[in-house]
Amino acid sequence: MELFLLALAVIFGGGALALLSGGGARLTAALGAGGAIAGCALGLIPAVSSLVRGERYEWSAPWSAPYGSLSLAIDPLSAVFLIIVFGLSLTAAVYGAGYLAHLGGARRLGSPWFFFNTLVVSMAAVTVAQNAVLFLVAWETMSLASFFLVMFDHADEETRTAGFVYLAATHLGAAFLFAMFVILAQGAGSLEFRDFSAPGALAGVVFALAVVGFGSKAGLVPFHVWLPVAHPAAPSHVSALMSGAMIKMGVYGLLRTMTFLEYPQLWWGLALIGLGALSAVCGALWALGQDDLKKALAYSTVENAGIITMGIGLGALGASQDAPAVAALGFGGALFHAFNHALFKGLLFMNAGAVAHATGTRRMSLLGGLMKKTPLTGSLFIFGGAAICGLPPLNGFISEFLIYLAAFAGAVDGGPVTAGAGLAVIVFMAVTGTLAAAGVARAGGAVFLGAARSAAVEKAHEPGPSMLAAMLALAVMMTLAAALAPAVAGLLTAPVVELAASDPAAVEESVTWDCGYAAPSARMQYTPSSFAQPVSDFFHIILRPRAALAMEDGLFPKRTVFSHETDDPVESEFYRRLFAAAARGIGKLQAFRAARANVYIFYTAGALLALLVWGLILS
Amino acid sequence: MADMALALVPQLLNLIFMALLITNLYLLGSSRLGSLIWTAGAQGALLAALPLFPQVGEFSTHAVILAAGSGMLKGAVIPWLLLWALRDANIRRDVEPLVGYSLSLTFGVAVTGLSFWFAEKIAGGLHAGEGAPFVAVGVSMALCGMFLIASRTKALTQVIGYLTLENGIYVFGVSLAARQPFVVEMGIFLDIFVFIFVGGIVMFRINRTFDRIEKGRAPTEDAP
Repeated sequence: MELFLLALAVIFGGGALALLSGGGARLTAALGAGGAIAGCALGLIPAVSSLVRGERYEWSAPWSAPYGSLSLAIDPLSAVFLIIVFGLSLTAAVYGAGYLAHLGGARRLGSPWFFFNTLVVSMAAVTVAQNAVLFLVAWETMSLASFFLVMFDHADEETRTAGFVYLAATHLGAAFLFAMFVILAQGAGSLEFRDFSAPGALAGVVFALAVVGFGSKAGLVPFHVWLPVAHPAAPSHVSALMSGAMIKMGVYGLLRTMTFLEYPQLWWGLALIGLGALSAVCGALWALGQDDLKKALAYSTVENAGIITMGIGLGALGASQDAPAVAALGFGGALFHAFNHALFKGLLFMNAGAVAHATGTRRMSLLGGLMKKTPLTGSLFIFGGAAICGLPPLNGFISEFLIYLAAFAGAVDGGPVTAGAGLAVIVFMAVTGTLAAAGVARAGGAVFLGAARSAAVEKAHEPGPSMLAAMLALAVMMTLAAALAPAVAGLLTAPVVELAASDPAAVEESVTWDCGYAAPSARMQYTPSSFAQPVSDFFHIILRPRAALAMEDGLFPKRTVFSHETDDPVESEFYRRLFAAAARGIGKLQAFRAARANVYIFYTAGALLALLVWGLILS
Repeated sequence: MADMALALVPQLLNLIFMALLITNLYLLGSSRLGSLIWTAGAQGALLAALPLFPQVGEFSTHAVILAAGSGMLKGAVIPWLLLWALRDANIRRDVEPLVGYSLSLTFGVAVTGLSFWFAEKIAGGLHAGEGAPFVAVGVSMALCGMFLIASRTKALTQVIGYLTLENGIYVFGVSLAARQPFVVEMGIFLDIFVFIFVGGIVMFRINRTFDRIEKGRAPTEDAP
C-alpha cells in the first residue's frame, strides 16, 4: 500500500513540478509525462499483486474534513480498475509527450500536464477510496481535472460549448451520487464504506440513484450527451484516457454500490440489461452517422458501455435468480470487457489523434487513402477496429463471448425471466456487433482506403516515435490479453501472428479495379455518408437522418449535392425540451429578482429565520 | 446594605435588558441619522456592563477588561466615528426606507416576541437556565439589525444595522463567555469589520446609498 501512495505522490509531484517549471517545453513534458509514467509503473505493482493473490491491502489516516477519513483499500475489484487506470495512463502519457510536442513553442504545457496527472491520481483515488467523503472529493477532482483538459483548446468556440456541456452533465450526475451517499449514510450512521449495508426498503432508491449518477459518467443512453461533444474537443491522449479509463469509473461505482446492497432485486438486472441494450444499439447506430472520426469513436464508447452494462445486468440477474453460472459469466465478461475496451478504445483514439495530427482534419469525408501514406497507423486502426467489433481471435471477442456465454447459460438453464432476458441480450449483442462492424468498416474504409478526398491527405506522415510506441504497446497488450485469456483463444492467436509475419513481397501491386472506367477520381468512391446510408435508412425511426439531394435537371447534370446527417435525438429532442421546461419553471422566479443587495439579504435572512422556526417547532 | 445591593442586581440586569429592547425598537422607528447613532452608542454602552454581572460569570479581571474594552469601542469610538462620517457625508435623514417606519416597528415587536419563544426553546439545550433572557435579547437584536440592513437604503443606516446585529451576537455570546470565549472573540472581529465600513464611508463620501448591484433596470427608487 505504501508503494501505491508513493506512486500517487510521484504522479502528482510530476504534474505539480511541470506546472511550476514554466520553462522549456521539453522540461515540462519530461516532468509531467515522466512523473505519470514512473508513477503508473509503480502503481501497477500493488494493483497486479492484489488481483493475482486475491488480497486486500488497507491504509487509513484521520482527516479533518467532517465525516471524512483517508481510508483506502485495494481489493481485487479495485485492482481491475486500477490496472485499467494505470496501464492506460502510462501509454497515454507516452503518447501525449509526442502529441503535445509540436505545440511546444505555441502553448505553455505546464497546466495540461498538471491536470492530466491530477486526473490520473484522482481516478486512482476513486477506485481505492473507502470513505464516501473521500470518494466524492476524488470524484469531483476527476471531473474538474478532465473538464480543464477538455478545455485545452479554449480559444475554440465549439470547445468551450463542449466544456460547459460536460461540466453541467458531470455535476448533475454527481448530485445523484450525493443523494445516494446520504441515504446510505443514514442507514449506516457513518460514511465509511465498510459500514454501509442494504438500507432495506430504500435499496431500490439507492440503486436507481447509482444508475443515474454513475451511468451519466459511464455514458449510458440517455445520460450520454456530454460524451460525443467532450471527447472530440479534448486532446487525443486525453480522449483516450477519458474514454478508456474515466468512463470505467462509472462502471466501478455501480459495481461498488452493488456490493453495499448485497441482495440484488430482479428488476435491477432487467433495468441494467434494458439500459445496456439501448445504449449499445443506439451508440452503434449513431456512430454510423458521424462525420467526425473522434465523435464516431465517442459513440462507439457509448456502445461499449452498453455492452458492459448488459454484462453487469446479466450478473445481477444471475445473482438475484440464484444462477451462479450466469452471475459469474456476466460480471466476469463485464469486467474483462471494461479492461479490453480501455485497450482498444485507447488505441483507436490515439489513432484518430495521429490522423488528425497528420492531416489537420478529423472529418472522414475529407480523408481517404491514408493507408498508402501511413501504413503503420492504418494497420493499427484496423487491428483495434477488428477488436472492437468483437472479431475473433482478438481480446474484444473473448470478453463479448463471455457475455454471450452468460446469456446462453441464462437462456438454457434459467427460469422464464432469466431465459427471456438471456435471449434478449443475445439478440441485442448480435445487432450491436453487426452495427459496430459496419461502423468500423465505414470509418476505416473512409479514412484509410480508397483515394484521397482532399489535399489534406497529401502531406500526411506517420506520427512521431513516442506516439507510435504508445499505440504499438496497446496493440501488444491487446494481443497479450487475448493470448493469455482462456487457452482456446491463445491457440487461435498463434496462426494470426504467423500470418502477419508472411512475406509481403509476394503481393503484386496494381491499380484498384476501376470497373472498366480508365480514369477514376476520388469523387467516384463511396463516401462515409453513402456507406452508412442503407443502414441508417433502415433504422430511420430511431435515427431520423436528414438527407438532402439537390440535382440539376437536363441531360448532363453537372452539379449534384447530397448531404446526409444524423442528429442525436436524445440531445436534440429530450434534453432540449427538458431544459426548456426547466427554464420556463425557473423563469417564474424572475418575479423575485431585485435590483438591490438589500432584498437578497432580506431573502437570506428570511430563509434562515424560517428554518430556525421550523427546526424549533420540530424539536 | 451590601445584601440589599445584591438583591437589586437581578433587577438591574432586567432593567438593562429592557433598555436594550427599547433602543432596538427606537432604531427601527427613527429616521434621523444623528439620533440613530446616539441610540446605537447608548446600546453599546449598556452592553458593556453585561460581563460584570454574576449571571454571566465570576467577577474577574478578564470580565473587567472585556467590559471596559467593549464599552470604549461600542459606546464611544464607533459612535464618534459614525458621527464624524455623518458630518462628512452631509446628510441628516434616511428618507427612503424600503419598508416604512410603522411597519418596521410592528416587525420589531413581533420579532421580540418570537425571540422569547426561541429562548425558551433553546436555553435548555445551552445548559444555561439563567441564560434565557440573554438569548432572547440577543436574538431579537440580531434579527432587528438584519432587518435594518435589508430594509434601509442609506449606507450609514446599514452600518448601524450591522452594528446592532453584531451587538446581538455579543449579548448572545457574553452569556456563554465562560465556556465559549470564541464567540466573544468573533464579536471583536466583527467590530473591526464595522471600522472598515465606516472607513469606507468616510473615504469615499458615500453620502447617498450603496450602489445598485444590477444594471439595466430603470432606477425608479433612486431618483434624487
